[in-house]
Amino acid sequence: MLEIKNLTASAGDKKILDDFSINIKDGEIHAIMGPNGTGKSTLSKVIMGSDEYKVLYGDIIFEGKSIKSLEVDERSRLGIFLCMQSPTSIEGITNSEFIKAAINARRTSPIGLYEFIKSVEKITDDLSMDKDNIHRNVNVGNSGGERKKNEIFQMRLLEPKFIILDELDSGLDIDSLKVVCDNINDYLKEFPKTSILIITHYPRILEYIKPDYVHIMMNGKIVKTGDYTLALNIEKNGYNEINNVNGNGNNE
Amino acid sequence: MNKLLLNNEDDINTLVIEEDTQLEIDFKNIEKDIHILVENSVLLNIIEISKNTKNRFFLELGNESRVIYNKFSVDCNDYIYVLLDGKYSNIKLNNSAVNNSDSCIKFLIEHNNINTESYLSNHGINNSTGNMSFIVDSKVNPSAMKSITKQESKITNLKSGKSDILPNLIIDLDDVEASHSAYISDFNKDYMFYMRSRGIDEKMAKKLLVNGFLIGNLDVDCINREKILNEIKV
Repeated sequence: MLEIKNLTASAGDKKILDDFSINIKDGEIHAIMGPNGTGKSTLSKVIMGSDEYKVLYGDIIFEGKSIKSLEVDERSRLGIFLCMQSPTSIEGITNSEFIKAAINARRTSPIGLYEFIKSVEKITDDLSMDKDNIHRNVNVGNSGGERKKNEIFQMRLLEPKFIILDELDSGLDIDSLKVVCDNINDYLKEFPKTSILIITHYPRILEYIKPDYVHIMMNGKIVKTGDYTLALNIEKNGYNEINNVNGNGNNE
Repeated sequence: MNKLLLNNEDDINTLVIEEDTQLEIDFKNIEKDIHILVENSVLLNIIEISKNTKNRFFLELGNESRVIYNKFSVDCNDYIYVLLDGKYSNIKLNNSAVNNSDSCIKFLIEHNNINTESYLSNHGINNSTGNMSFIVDSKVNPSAMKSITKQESKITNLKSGKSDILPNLIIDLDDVEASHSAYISDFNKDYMFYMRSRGIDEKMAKKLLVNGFLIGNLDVDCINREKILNEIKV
């Protein structure tokens, strides 16, 4: 699904990703953990094509094709979805206008009103969101947890193939985290070839969305790969014990 | 509520508002002076959609009267002068403007009595290589104790035009609450990234942001919202 090969990227003069590699196959769930400032969120934005960062070396290959030269919206329409760490609020644009424009960007003809309303109603119920949310301005007045739910709401409507969850669990209470993760798991049952990249500080979310692989990232690259027990070990012992044993991120 | 319509064909220069009224104004390619006197304890709701005008509006508010003025303009060089003469009189003025060549909108709001309030919100889109200006003067005279005056002005540049915001607070009193803000820039990069990360291309993202920036500043019904959307051509 997604392969990153020897990716080096910078923000201004500062190198943040340093020879980073990972290979995520169809249907796999990978988690990335690491200390603050190690490049985890940068990775998510570079995959998405943010012009805040410059790719100096390496490639990003999605479904067999390089996407390095593609614009942000082109990558999204190919099927990549980034659930943002801090979703922005946009005054003056309703959730309805926003998501309808995103849906229609993927279609040859605009979505019908009935189809749209039924989809919105179902997903709003599934996420235990306020029914009026669709009419409100995007994330305006929303708490952090509500903004995260709104991200998953958008994800469900856009039906991506590859989902990046950038610290989804931050700002979510336990009940909301369970609701959101249940929604993601239901989505995976419906679309089993979907791949997920979870970026997190804590293993709590990994109790709900079980990863196939857990990677530890330090200084812009993956330094260790394991399974869920690696995450538990990190929670217990911290990152001090991690040595730069395996730096290429391969899971084979 | 009484409903009045005013357009180019109406040869009216003075209006006296004696009961709660909704006034809809539609002017195109005209230069006019309009005096509006709002009587005591009356609510006047003004919705204006104008294009290429050079009008002067003079509003005088009586005791406890209230004006809500939602103004949308394209290429206008208007002057709005508000006299809060009555105690407890109040105006909320939302102005959304598009500039395609050169335009300048001036406001002067004078507080002349106790407990008067003015709230002004200006949003402009400069869609030209020309000049767009907002000149906003809020004046609180010595008779206007415990008054509140707040103004906020923003211009977004879509091209390489020159934009100016000149906010002035002229306060001749101690017991006043006053504030102003002025902001000129391109569209927030975070907004663009967020929208494009959902597959919305740059052109559509800008269209949504322009519409949201202008319409979001106005408190109008669906019908007028559609009229305004049809006039936004950037």
